[in-house]
Amino acid sequence: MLTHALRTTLTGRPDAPLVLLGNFEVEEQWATGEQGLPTVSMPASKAIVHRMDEFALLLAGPGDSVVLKTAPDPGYLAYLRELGLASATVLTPAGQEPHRTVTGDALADPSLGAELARAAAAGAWLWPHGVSAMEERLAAVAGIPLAGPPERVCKAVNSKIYSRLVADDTGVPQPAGLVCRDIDEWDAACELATTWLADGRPVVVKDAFGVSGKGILVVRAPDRLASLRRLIARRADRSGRRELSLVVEEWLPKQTDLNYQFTVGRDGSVHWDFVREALTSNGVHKGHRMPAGLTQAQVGELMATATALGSRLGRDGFYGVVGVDALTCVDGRLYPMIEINARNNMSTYQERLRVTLVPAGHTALATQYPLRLAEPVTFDRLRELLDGLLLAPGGARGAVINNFATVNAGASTRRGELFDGRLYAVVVAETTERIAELDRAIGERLGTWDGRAAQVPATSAR
Amino acid sequence: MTMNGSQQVGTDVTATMIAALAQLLNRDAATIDANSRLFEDLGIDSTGVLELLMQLEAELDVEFDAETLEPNDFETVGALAAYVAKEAAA
Repeated sequence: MLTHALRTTLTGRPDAPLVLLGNFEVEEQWATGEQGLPTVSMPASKAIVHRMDEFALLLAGPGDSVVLKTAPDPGYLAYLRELGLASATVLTPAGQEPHRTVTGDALADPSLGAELARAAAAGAWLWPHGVSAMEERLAAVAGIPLAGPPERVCKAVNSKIYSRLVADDTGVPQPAGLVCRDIDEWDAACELATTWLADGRPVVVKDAFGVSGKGILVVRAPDRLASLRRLIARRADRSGRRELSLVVEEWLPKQTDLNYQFTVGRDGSVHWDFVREALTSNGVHKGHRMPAGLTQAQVGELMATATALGSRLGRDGFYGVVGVDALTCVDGRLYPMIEINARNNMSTYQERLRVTLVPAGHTALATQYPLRLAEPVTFDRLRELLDGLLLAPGGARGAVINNFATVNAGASTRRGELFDGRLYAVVVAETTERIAELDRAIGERLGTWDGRAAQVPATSAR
Repeated sequence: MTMNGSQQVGTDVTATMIAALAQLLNRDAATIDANSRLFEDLGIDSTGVLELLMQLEAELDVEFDAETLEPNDFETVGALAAYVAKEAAA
């Protein structure tokens, strides 16, 4: 549940009700119209990403509401309530479309807007995952105040260009690199990066508005950078647009990804929240390990960085939750700021689970399991499959399913065609070894399961 | 260019593309064929397609305009090879 302090930061009052909106990958909206890396419009469905909206259910408290694309599976809701979670009211727009964010669905349904207006009349504020123009429009249409700064501020401080410039201003250590706001800066960055590549030092080119962990190109050879330079030059010649939103940096030999969170108050004060070890695959977020396993000195450096960054963000008009990606290198160096995410983070939604369900001295792994299903499944069927591995109310070991909507989100309309799903869980145990055992056991049971009831093994067989 | 010639270009491009994908994705080329779906089967993302196009530019000595690609063009390895062959012949 939200602390009174965060609620006060978001709304100015410690008891104001909130309407949560899990518009994940809000960066896609911020990136609209920006010129980053040359892109192709992938046919990939965002159906699973859009159902990450269900994470918001775990953060809301009694008296709050959560807008979800569809109502939660009844078995899943009952399960969460057994664990003392999901006490908020659920609001669902009519006619959800898999390709739309939850905000897009809400905007398309006037009756949902009317419900938001009623909530506003009762003193509620709209708290999105991140504020883009779409959430501003929804708030304006429904007449509900936004619990966050305007889109203009949120977008600006999420840019990787902003992160680099603020690090320069505040003296926060960062990888060597340059920002590229136009073709001239890009050409200068390419000249510098070519000398690094000639010395055998790889470089990364990043979209300033890329989704965290995506839109990142690692370049290891001068001819490949020359090829990218030509592609971008051709685009500029063709379009007549010289502005760019890119950064070029040295590639770092990473040991551990880190993610930490702090909150900037409306008065510019900075409150440290937590740090997690972030688990990634090809740069894309896969989960978190709690606690992070850092030294006190390293945590102290992150806290000092949070204070410096938070003060600057406050001066630039931002307030609310901030997540920062950081990393340690194989040589032990700590880079306390790789990028600023001025929006909620995966760990924002996991924090209440940690506080509520992880006993003192235990460890937890927030993770995800890929699924390949033949038909949509109910939570009860999944619960039967994972019997003995889930955390029982009051228990100290087992997995908590923290999102079920992503399991069936990709269900094909063509009967019998396999579809991809994703199951999110937080695995809790006394030691990292026990967590590894549980994680492996869950992966094994899910690995060969296609969702059909007949495949659920009898309890006696396990 | 004759019909046979076009088919030859397509076959060569497909082979080059499979080799490039195998290198990019660090997987056995024998597990990739013209029917492999770039996203669902090979797990390639937008940046991966960009890397692939840059490599093909270098190997085939052609220039692509990545942003003219339509979603249909990279549903499968074969579809993307057809696009590349068309651009190479242009």
